[in-house]
Amino acid sequence: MTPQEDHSTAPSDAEILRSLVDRQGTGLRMLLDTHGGIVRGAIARSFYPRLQTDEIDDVMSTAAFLAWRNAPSFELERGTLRAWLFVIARNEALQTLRRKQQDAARRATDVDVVEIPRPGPLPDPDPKTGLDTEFLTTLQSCVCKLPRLQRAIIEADLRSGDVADAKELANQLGTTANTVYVSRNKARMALRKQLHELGYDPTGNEKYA
Amino acid sequence: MNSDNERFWRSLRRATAHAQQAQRAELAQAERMLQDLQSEDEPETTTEQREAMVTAAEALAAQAHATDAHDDRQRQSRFGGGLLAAAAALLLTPKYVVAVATTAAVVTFSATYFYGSTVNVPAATAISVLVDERQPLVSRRTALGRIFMDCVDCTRILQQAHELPDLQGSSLAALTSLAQQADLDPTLFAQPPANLSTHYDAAVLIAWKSTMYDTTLPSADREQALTNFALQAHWSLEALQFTASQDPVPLLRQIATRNLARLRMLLSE
Repeated sequence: MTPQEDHSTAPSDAEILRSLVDRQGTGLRMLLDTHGGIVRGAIARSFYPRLQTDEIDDVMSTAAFLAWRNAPSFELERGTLRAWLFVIARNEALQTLRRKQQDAARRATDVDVVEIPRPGPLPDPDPKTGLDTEFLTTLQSCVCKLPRLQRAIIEADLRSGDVADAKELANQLGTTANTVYVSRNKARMALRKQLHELGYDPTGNEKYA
Repeated sequence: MNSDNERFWRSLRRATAHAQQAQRAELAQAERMLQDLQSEDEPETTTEQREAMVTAAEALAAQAHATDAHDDRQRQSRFGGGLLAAAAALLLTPKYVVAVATTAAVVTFSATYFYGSTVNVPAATAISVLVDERQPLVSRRTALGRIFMDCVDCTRILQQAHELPDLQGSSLAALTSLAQQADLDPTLFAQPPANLSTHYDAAVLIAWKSTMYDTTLPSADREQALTNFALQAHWSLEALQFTASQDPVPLLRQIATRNLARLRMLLSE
């Protein structure tokens, strides 16, 4: 057991998630200290030597950043933080691999072919893997871009499972119920536009199925 | 319009519920894979590797903080009654440019995140901190991330300048020079000129970029603006090279080396 996996002193997933959501400076460190070692090891076993050590480090830091960024969209009842970090890191590793293969193909037409590492085990047989996490994180990033009031309303609606009570929300947010109605409409329009621009159309299921 | 909105919301809720359900299965599968992939003979992730991951992730987070802070400010000024000329320029400025801007809002956001570090100091100071072995490691590695991002931003701006026909030659020359510098063996690093300290002020950055794109201005002024970005990138690159080759702290050498590799890839685009 490595020091970061000493569960007697390690923070719980709930504590780490809270730190990430609250944007505390310690959140990223807690996440990587607690789960980074295991996830990095798993990514290395899946992708080395297709990805080199420094590329795996990049994948991990980007994955941790994405987890920090999208922490408000994650709920622990869906799974563990380390599994979530692993899914994000795996998607990031696959993207890095694709970029690398494209670069290699492009370079091969210009210069003598450089030595390419022997392929390891095929990392991802299922192209749909990560789609759900991707949709949820995309949605979260779109919500984050909304103005503060609209964002608060949409987040409350999403939490409620449908539509949060306008009067209650107005009280919490220090505004009127009418403002909540108006802002909610604007927020939905803005969200729809943003998702559409990113290729998601929940009404037509173009990308997300 | 309202019924459209309602329909959208219902669809979104359905899609979200479906995605959440599917994510549960996905995470359960990931958990099983993690257990399968764990191995007794797996070398442990070293402290250095973990530190490098944290540092790089924190640098990305700091950049995102700055962008968010800028977006908030921009929204507030837009709804606050009239845009300033500078804000108008900001709208034309890609996110990654303003992401490193040292505005008051950025300082406020980042101060809570990187307290005691060098994320918001002027570029010249960040470089000085990086190459000063007496400084705390936390400050030096934050400075390193900051300098790297500065260099990426300047490089990208120079690459964008390709779309300006009359600056195409100068931007290409600047990028070629940077690419050659990135490939050189590191040389002894000299202290950066003091005037770099004024470069990473948001207003100055915006002014440079506006000048570059303003075809009504004399070409000498526009060339000078481009040169400013090239100069900034040059010093950042030099500092990274120096750190990668000479720094006594392995962690810093490792991060700087990786950052240099990324810059080489960017410069080869």
